[in-house]
Amino acid sequence: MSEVALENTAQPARSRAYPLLPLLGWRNLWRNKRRTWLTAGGIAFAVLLVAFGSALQAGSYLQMQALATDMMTGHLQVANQQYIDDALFEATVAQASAKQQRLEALPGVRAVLPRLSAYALVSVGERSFGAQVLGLEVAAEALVFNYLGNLSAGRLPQPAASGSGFDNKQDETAEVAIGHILARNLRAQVGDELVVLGSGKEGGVAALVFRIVGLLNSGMSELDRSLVVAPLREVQWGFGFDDEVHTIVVRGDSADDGPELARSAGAALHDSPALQVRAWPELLPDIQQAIDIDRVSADIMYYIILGLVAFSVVNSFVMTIFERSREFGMLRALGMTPGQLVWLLQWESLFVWLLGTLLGTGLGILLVGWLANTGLDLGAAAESYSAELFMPTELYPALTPAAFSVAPIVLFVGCQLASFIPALRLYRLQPVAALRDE
Amino acid sequence: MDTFALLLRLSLRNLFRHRRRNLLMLSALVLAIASVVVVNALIRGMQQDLADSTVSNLTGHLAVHAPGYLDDPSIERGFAPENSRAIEGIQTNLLAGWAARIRVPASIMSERETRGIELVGVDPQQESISFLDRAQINGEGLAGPADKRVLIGQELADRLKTRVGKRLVIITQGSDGTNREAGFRIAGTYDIDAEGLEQSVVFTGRDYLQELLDTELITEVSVRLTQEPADNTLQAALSAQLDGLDVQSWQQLEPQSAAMYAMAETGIYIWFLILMSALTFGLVNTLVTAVMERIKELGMLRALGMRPAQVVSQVVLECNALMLVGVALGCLLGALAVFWLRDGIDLSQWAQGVQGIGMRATLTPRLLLSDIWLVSGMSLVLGLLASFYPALRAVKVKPLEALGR
Repeated sequence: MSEVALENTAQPARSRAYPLLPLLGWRNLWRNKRRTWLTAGGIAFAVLLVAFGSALQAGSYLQMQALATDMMTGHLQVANQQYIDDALFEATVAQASAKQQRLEALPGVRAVLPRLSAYALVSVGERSFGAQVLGLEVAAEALVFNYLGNLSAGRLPQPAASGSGFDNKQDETAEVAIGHILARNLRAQVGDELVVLGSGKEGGVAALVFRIVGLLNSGMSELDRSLVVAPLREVQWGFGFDDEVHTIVVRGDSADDGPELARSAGAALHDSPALQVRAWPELLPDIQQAIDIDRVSADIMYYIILGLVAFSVVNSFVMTIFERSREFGMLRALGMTPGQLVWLLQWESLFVWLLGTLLGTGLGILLVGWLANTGLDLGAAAESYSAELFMPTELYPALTPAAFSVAPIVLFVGCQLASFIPALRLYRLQPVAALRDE
Repeated sequence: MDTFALLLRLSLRNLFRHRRRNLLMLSALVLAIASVVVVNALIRGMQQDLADSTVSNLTGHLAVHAPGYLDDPSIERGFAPENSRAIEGIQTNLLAGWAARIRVPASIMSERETRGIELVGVDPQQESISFLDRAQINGEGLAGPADKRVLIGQELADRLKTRVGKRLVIITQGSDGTNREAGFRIAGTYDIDAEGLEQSVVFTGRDYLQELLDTELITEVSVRLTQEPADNTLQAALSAQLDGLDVQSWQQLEPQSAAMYAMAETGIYIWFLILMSALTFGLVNTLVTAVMERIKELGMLRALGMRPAQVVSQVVLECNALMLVGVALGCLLGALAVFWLRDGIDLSQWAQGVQGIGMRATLTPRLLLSDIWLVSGMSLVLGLLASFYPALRAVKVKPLEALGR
């Protein structure tokens, strides 16, 4: 039982080649294989769980951000301060085309899309409803954003071939697509005429006639209930605007870059102090907050789990030290100092931690790597709320360094403390009494 | 002496032989169970919020509509108000109240803005069952079903740039499908947690709305119960009474909220499983050690005639005695923590995020006795499972070998 210790202390020459305490600690671990594996298993379980959980979270946040920003918000938006604060209809981004070009030139920008938005009364025949009329570069917008991606009938509107559909002389009515719920409420179908009545920029009446060419089915009932999408030029013309828009929406490579991109966009537009650049977390505070609260609550749970595992490591060392008092007594009698014994136990806990961490991390990487390719199907229940809450129906965990470092670091400290505190007993150990102890 | 009593005494004494490590194990158990209890109570609180806000968002526990109304919400798909009498014929002590309403889509115009809204004609006396009862009202509420004024959300008032006392024009479709346009004075504005509703729901007197739409019909009866019904007998009974009308529960009307509710339920079990698995490693470790250091003793007991089954029960009893104390103290600690959190946890920092999923800005934990039983039961089952391996190890002890060590 104590051969190991004897052998090593008897040969000081070898101890120089192989550091004595780590070697001794490593060998000691295998004297009680079951306990070592159970302790390491607990550590591995916690590491795996936290890594897997954080990877799922990180993956779901990325997906949520992508789903939310790709619906229609984009990664950042430029708008007039007064339009943001008071929804002041006439507070626009002037000379929009020039600004659009300037934003397009920024590195990392994938799409720049102007939008003009007006609330108006829309009617088909005898029926009328309030609606949000959006003037867009429809084709470009449909390539980037999902709210235009799905039509329950017809097609997306196209700008009139020659300038505005309202001021050319031929019998060509401007085209619109409307939300399918709005269409149902209006009892409207593709091909019907849609009359839009609102107030123009200068306060006069804006009256426009469109032909419905498509019905939108975005999956967001609020949009499907109220949205009217028309080519930008027609809306600018109809409501009395020049080269003006309410917002310029920018999409970069990924939602993560949004705030960074917003800074460079702000710098590019610094000569227009009336304009404000906002990144998506400001535009979609509910998404950001949902992510934040999920992160906080998950962190609390992780720390509870890590605390529990640390408890079981402490317990394991309490048992170890209690059982081995005879051995420790002998080591003391052979000349080891209590400090060296404490170090010995520190090495042992380091090795247990290493075993558990390697095992947990290895399994975690395998699991996450596998699921990152195949995805974790959340089942039918997820589909009913995924569209409105921007939650994915399939989760793809993300292999992030943070996911794999938190638990190991916390448990490293936990393990070293777990072996240190009970080891303090060794300073009071009387070698003779301990040797006599059975 | 009764064998069981003997085994129990042996197990308990064994536990007391190693106070330090068993106390450590016990504190881990207590901590784990207490946190399970607290998380459980928080999830129940969340579910309650979710159900409450869904039910009071004009949905009710059950709602009666004419077929096709949900797809095409117009007054043409209304039904006779006499149908609501059927509700009073239902034998139940769960009924908290009901409200007959007209809900139609409409457009609202202030001097500056136009918005799409849902116009809801109500009898304010019946609306104690909906969020209107709890809402903070600025100005006046509606006086009665004949009130010709409107009560609008604060958020909508802001968007329309209007205020109490001003006039608004509302356009909607009458029973013949043609437009009705009428001016309304704003009696008051209501302020609730849910911004979406504040922006879209506009109340007026039901009788006046009927007059405006030229109809005698209503489009909805919403039924509020005092608590979530255990099964759908009430729904079936109402459905049988109301021939030709659809009776649906909030879960059917708001599948999103129902899915979230069910997901939260799953969360309870997942959390228990995770925490308890983390704990099991330590528990098994302690028990195995307890068995291994007693090999000599167990061998002697076997030699003296203790049967293998009795050895097993001794280890199992030891584990479950520890578990039982842990469960009792853990539940107590958990209950204390829930009591300490009784005023709720302030989530206002994330207000929009939590409202987005139908929760309130303050999360109040709800401790259910049934959950305490659930946690206790599951923990004891786990204790049995955890003692299996150590017990097996104890049975393998060969009397002769063990004694010779």
